[in-house]
Amino acid sequence: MVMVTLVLSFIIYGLMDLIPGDPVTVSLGTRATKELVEARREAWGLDEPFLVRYATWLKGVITRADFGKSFYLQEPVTQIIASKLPITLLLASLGLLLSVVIGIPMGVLAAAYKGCWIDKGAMVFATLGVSIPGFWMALNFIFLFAITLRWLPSGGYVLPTVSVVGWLKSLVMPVLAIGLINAGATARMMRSTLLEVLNEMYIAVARAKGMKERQVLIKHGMRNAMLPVITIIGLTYASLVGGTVVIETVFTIPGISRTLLIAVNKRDNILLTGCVLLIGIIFILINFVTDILYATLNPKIRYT
Amino acid sequence: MSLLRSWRVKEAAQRPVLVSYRGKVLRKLVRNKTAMAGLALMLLFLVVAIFAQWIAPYEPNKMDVMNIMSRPSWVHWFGTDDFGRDVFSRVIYGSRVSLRVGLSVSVLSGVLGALVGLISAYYQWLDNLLMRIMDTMLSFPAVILAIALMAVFGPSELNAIFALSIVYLPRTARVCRSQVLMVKEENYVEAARATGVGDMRILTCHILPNIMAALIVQQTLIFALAILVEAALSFLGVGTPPPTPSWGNILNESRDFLRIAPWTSLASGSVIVIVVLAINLVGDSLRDVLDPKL
Repeated sequence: MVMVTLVLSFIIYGLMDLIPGDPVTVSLGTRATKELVEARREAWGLDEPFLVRYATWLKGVITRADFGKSFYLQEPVTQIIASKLPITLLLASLGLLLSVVIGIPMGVLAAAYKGCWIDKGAMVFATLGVSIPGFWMALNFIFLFAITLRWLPSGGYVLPTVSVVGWLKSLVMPVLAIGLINAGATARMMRSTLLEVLNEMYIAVARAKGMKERQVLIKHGMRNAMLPVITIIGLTYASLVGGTVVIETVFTIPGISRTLLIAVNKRDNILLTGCVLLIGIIFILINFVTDILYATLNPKIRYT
Repeated sequence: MSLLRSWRVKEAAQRPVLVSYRGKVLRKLVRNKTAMAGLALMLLFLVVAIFAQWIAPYEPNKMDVMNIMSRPSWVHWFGTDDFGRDVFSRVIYGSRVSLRVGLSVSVLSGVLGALVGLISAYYQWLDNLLMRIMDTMLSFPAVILAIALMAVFGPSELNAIFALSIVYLPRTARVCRSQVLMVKEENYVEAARATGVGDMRILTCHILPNIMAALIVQQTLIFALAILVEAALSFLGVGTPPPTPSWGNILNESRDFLRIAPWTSLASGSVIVIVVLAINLVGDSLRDVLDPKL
């Protein structure tokens, strides 16, 4: 884990260093004098060779959890990310929750009525879900709910401390877009896992005992199917956050996407390094926890 | 004579019809209506992309200041945008970018992923290292990794192809690896090794053909994903740079005048959905046909 993170930090730092363009020229403009550019370059520590810069930066990261200072925003990277990333994660988590609430029952119904119109409808929904770009769905929501019906604001983010109702209103469309897009995949996963479980011997035994089909489905089928489904949902969280970043832009929500795009457009490689590395570390941790959870929940699996 | 002939006819009738595996798969695929519908749509878009300059009624970047944001009509099927450019023509030209990127990414990530998967499954001592790298790449959100890579490469269509190929390489590598691990235990591989066939030949002639089915299914799904993510990148302004029309940047431009001219967004968005849907339908049917277990 530690080794992976260290190697990762080197690769990302090195990669971001290769970004063409120069944060100094971007910040000063092309008409700045040579002396000014040199002075700024020295002040920002950009005149040092690559390995020295990496070592100084890594020392800051390890000893003070300091990812450096953004060139463009002139704020500590950690502080910027700490104020932006929670909004993105909140949106992604609520979207995930919605997709589970819609997807799981839909998948169970589809498996229970396999081959029937319910099943076919659910699978059409699932295929549409993986084919519609989330940001286009979001644009359509804006057109429908904000422009035509005027129910919701077309974008922006209201802090819950300012107005709870406004906050909830600003969350509805993004969460709906994220949730609906991902519900299809969840439903499909639930369906296929449940169908597999329903082929097991213990299901036949339960049926032979004269148990009601509904009980067989919920008590014996769903319980056993939920575990792999939950794990896969945990592992897809990363891709969900990727989708959230794009949807944020549509609704002009001040999440991590704006910071990422600023970093890219202003050649702010220290900010970009921080964002990418931190997000990477978070997801490596999430996957690690999911793996451990899976092992503890399922006695059949033991990591040696 | 006639007795012999009638015996031969009888024998021929009783002999089981030998159909190759490939033939069986193709026959099943042709009978599958959703697969054929998806394939037809894909071909249609391919033709449209290739012959864009003859199909599009206008130049994609020709501005018509007298007709800014005009509604869809017989003159402009999908209306015009804020520069008076014909949206129908732009969407047609945009299909070139999307299909080129999607196709190239699915081929490139397929080749590289297969290579990594083959090596790591076949040479156990490299397995741990390679798979660790792949896992780390997989744990990043695809879009964020793609944005970061685009920052390094700079926004252009070719760079989007490279960036997305890197992003999707680990998925293919994983699928490939698990397939190779299964196939390499088969008797025919062992027989090949026993007769003194070299590693290179075993990998290319005995293992690769047998994992092709899984690889093709996986790459079809990546084709669809790549089109979606390329559109997202262009939408964010880090993919194909304007004025080259791509579905993503048409959508991005349409955001500013969604209130006045919603048809721009509607047209380019629905086209993405139709193409990705078609590819997904083909991919799903292929999976059903090639591997009934999945």
